[in-house]
Amino acid sequence: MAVALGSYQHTGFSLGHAIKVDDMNFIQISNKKLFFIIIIAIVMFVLVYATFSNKQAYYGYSPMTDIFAWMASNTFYSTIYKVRAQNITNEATALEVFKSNNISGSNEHTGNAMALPVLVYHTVENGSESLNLQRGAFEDQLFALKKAGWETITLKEFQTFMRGTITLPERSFLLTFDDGTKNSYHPVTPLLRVLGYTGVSFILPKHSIGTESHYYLSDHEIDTMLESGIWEIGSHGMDVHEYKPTDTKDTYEAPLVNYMWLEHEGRTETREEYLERINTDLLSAREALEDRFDVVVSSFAYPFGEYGRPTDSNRNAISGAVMAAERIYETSFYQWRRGGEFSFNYQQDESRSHLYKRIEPDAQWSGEELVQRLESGLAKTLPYESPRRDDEGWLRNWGKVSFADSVITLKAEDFGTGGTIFLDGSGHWENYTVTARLHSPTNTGFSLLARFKDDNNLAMCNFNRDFVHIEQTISGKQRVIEGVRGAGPYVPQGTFEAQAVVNGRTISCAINGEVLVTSRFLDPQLSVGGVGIKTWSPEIGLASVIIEKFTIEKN
Amino acid sequence: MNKLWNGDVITAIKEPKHKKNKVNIDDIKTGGVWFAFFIIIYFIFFIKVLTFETVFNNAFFGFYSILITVYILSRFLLAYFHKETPYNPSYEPTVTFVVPAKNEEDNIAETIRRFGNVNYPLDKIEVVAINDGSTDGTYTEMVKVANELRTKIKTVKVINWKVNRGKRHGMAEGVKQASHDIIIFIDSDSFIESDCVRHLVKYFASESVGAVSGHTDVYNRETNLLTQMQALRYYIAFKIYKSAESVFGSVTCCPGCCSAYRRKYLVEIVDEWLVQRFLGAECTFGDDRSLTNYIIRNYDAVYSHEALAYTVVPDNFKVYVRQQFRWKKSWIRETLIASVFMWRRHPLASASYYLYIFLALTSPVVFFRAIAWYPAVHQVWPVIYLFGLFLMLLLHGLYYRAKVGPRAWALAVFSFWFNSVILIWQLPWAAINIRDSRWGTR
Repeated sequence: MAVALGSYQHTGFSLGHAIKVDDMNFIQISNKKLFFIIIIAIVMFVLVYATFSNKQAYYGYSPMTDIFAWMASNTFYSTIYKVRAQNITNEATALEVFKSNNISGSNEHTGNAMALPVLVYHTVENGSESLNLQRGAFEDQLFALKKAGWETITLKEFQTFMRGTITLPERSFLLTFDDGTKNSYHPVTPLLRVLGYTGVSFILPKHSIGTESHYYLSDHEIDTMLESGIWEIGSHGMDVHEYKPTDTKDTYEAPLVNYMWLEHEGRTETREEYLERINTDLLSAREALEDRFDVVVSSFAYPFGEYGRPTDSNRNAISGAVMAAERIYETSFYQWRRGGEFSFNYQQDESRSHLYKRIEPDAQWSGEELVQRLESGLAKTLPYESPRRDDEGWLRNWGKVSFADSVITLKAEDFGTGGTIFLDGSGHWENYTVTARLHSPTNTGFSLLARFKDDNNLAMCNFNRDFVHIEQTISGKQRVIEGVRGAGPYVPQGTFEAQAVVNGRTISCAINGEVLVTSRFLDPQLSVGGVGIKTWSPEIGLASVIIEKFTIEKN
Repeated sequence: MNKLWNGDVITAIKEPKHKKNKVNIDDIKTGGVWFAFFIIIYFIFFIKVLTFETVFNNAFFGFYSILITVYILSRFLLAYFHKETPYNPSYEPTVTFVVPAKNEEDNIAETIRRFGNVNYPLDKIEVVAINDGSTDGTYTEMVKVANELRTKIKTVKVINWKVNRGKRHGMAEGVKQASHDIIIFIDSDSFIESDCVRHLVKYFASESVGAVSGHTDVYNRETNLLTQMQALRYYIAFKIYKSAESVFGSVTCCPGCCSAYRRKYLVEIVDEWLVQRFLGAECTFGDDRSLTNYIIRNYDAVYSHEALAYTVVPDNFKVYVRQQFRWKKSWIRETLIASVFMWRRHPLASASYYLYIFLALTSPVVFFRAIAWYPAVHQVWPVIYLFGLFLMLLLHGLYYRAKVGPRAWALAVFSFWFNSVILIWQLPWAAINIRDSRWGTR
């Protein structure tokens, strides 16, 4: 080696021999320089380490581009939100002065809530071209709610209110987000902070604990979320948030409300296996969340909003999930599908003590539209007179309905046999008289709905040319409890007034003030409930009724 | 007092009493710039740490990104350990200035005149000026200034070639004509400071040293944005990159504008250098880099940050692009040549050298991937890439601002960035045209 490199030895830097201090002619490593570099290195290390830990806490395993986008947009939007929020406060103050000068007449209103809406969102996208809710629309909706005086409540407040132990202001709502995605948290928090709102995030422990994801929140992020005081968490199930096969034909359904196909055994699971599976699933989800985050997880959101009632999209849904959820969680949430029931959750509704519905605002709704929908769902006070406006809260179960020329027209679909509408916000009414001034251009029968809880639990006065019946439906089972027949025609030609009177367990049906039938044996489950109207005819496309006036008075 | 920047407190203590209460605004500003400098370094680390996971998505590009960061930051670190060498009056070897010139009638007189004003014993100075077939008044100017100089300097040779032979021949002729120990090559458009000579020659006290690069700044800096940008580039190239190389005595290019060589070592190789051929073609440019390569094969080459000179740079974009293209071609040639012996130098020096080759050759690929491939195929815009590039250049810009004071440094950074982005294709293009010897300097 020395021979081979001999001619280069005088350079002092050949690889072949050790570096001697004497050779280091051109380098100067003084203590001062070394000290400086070491200090810089230590400071850099500490800073970078601290930044990295914070990144983990605030953004989990998000890619850099997302982090920068969130940091930049959240800084930007926070400022804008503050200005918008300030404007709302100013307007509200001005409005308060205006209101106090124009106090309307006496009102039994205490300003306390009788029922609460729960809103559910999924992701809030930032300017992408998807059909999902965009940041701008989400902001509009939340700012409109704030402006209209709506305030969020915590999960605990919701639960205690539902048990009837506390009162809450009329315009209170619970704000929830499903799936625990990054996009349901990062774009949302700055807005909640500015508005003073709180939210509940339903987490998928399978995707958020112990795994690295660019889409779902990481456990570090959830720690930070919980520390913020803005967020609470709930469970969204362990393995039940993805569609799975129910048979050999690759029919994929929601595993929480369907029997699953057992591939290795070549059969569908039995009822026992199903119950065992969902029970384990819901319990393990709760335990995973509680163990990791050291909080009580008392609420559950049904994946896909399905709790086991057959729907258009899942006709074979089976029950069982509600029972399992009830055992494991104090409160569980499904999605309200416009019609069939009120949009709000009524206090102390014993028929479904732990199951609550949530409204999923449409991505296309403006802020005003969302507010209007919540306003129309607010508990209405008696006496009440309709039609007022087309968005006062009439909800359609089936058939066609139109609001024009200050009448309500209810018709069967072209290929249907009838139609039903009911009045949202009437679910807490107790003893009242419903009077409808109406006529039927096609001379079809109609019913006045009273003590309506949902389309499986209600009472009605069923008026026909040849008979008048009192019917009640409990858990979907319809039964005639009283009636008259043979002395007709009971329904006159032209315009007339039909009445249904409910008083305790007594219900009577009247035409033009003449009581035709009365029953004193209304089911005690129907002690309170709202009103509606139905038209029906066995002939396709015929049924129709035109309501000129609809009044409800307290007895 | 406590609120002041730390450095200022020290200054204030050192200053005489009547200045004690004066806040030195410039010091605070410079302190601020240094602070920003380290903030940028932190930011670079920060990005690297946060993007660390993505390194493994694509190992090649991921490691490129880490290596380029390590390379650039290590240059700053090594440059910080560049040694201050004091001038030793007992070591004063004889010196020959060699100036080859072609069509340089505007600058040549000033270039040569300055040799008479050097802060060095004039009896140890010799001047050799070569007129390489100029078609303007260069020769007349040379003769005129030579006569002026002869009153101070004993030997002033002016060689007049009627036909242009090329810069390399001019430099070689200078070596042959010179009789002194140290030869200092000065470009015909470069001007030296009076202390330049003593700061160049002091390094030759060590026998291992064969070449010393001076520090060249841009003379026409204020002309336009392009020259301001080049001023920043020159400053950084010398202060950081040459310093870093110099720490191991392996400066790879002692530029023609102002560099000194030991004549004894030059005569060993000058004939071979003169007829150098690469891939069958005569080498007509990159003469300085080539000469340095011959020297660092066997000796050390260092950088003297105190030996100051100024040079005129292109103020026209077209000329600038052509110059850069020429440099790229000689870079490829000389880099390949040097790569056969650089491994024998200090491990850190050779590691840096081969790392730099790898980075330079892959950067156009990385650039193409970020700017064209990803946007076209994945609709991902090269925000991070361009931002990272900008941060690195900003780091250089802040160093420049901190060291030389308020200049149009920010614009220069933008311009540097812009030029890097649009000139990155030059290297592969130069590789394709490596044998084309047109566009020579002369």
